[in-house]
Amino acid sequence: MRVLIVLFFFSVIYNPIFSHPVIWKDGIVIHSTLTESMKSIKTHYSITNKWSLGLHGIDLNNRSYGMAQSNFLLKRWNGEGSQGNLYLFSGMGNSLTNQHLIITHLGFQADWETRTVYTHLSVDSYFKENPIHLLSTRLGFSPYLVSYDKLSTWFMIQVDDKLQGNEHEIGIMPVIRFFKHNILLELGSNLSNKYLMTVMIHL
Amino acid sequence: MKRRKIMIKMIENKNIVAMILFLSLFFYNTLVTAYGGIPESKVTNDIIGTENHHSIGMDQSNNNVTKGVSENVSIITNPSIIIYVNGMVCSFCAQGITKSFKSHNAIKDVSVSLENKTVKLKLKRFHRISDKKIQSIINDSGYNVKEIKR
Repeated sequence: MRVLIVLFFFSVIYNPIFSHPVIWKDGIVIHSTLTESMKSIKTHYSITNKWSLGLHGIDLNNRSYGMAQSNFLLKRWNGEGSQGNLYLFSGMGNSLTNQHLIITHLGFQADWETRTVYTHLSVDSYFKENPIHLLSTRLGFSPYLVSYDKLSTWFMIQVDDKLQGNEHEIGIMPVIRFFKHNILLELGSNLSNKYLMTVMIHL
Repeated sequence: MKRRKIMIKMIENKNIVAMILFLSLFFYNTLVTAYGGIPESKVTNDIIGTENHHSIGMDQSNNNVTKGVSENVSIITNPSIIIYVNGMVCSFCAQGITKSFKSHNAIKDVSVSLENKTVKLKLKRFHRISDKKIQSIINDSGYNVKEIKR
């Protein structure tokens, strides 16, 4: 069943924000996103509750790359009603069409959340012939509290700053997030030139 | 010595019913003792309503320090365990807790309450799970145990 789900999602792709880069020990994450400029699919296996390994398929500037990725949970704070995390990402891959086009990835993510508030900051750099640097932040809230097995809803504002060469591309986008059990769905749009759709499954 | 004499008498008299009764009682005591039955020194007070309370101290060395009444009594009198967990704010992220406990052979049912920050376990009859194992499962899921109540 897991294999089928992985194969199904291998047709879709990407977003710099990876909400759950490391989950519980032996857990598997399948994360697929589509935006106006980037596409990718990620699948990760958490070897421990602090470290996961995965594969990424990324479409950047109309070029497709395959990457191996390592996510490491540097530090977690488990409070009575909150959780904070620091992650470090590293990856390396190659163009799927050009054998000599290598891409490497370094990233950092910090997030803090309660049952009603969510904050997120991530910095990702993709080093290739034309490096791309992405800064992304999110601030969100849940309008109502739900129990463990009910549908959870979040409203968020996402601000992205993409730097490529000397060009900055800043985007602001409202995002709505739903999750229930082990499935998460995000939809975002600035009603102009930017959109986002994310699906994430925990196995 | 006494038991042996009784056994021989039963066999001689061919009193099969008595023999079966004796063997049943013998095996029952063995079973109850092996699966954590009530020791002779702990009798009525522990059976009748005394709360079995274990506190796990999260000291620097991360050792489990268990205080309180023996676990043995709680298996028969209280097959539920309540675990107070820190960091449990997102049901999507906490799925690992349910999944990991449900795969343990001692667990009959798991229920998570984000409001109370608790995980409630129902044990199968004659099964047990140690505090150390509970803490290991919670830690592997990415959370911390604050307290375990049996």
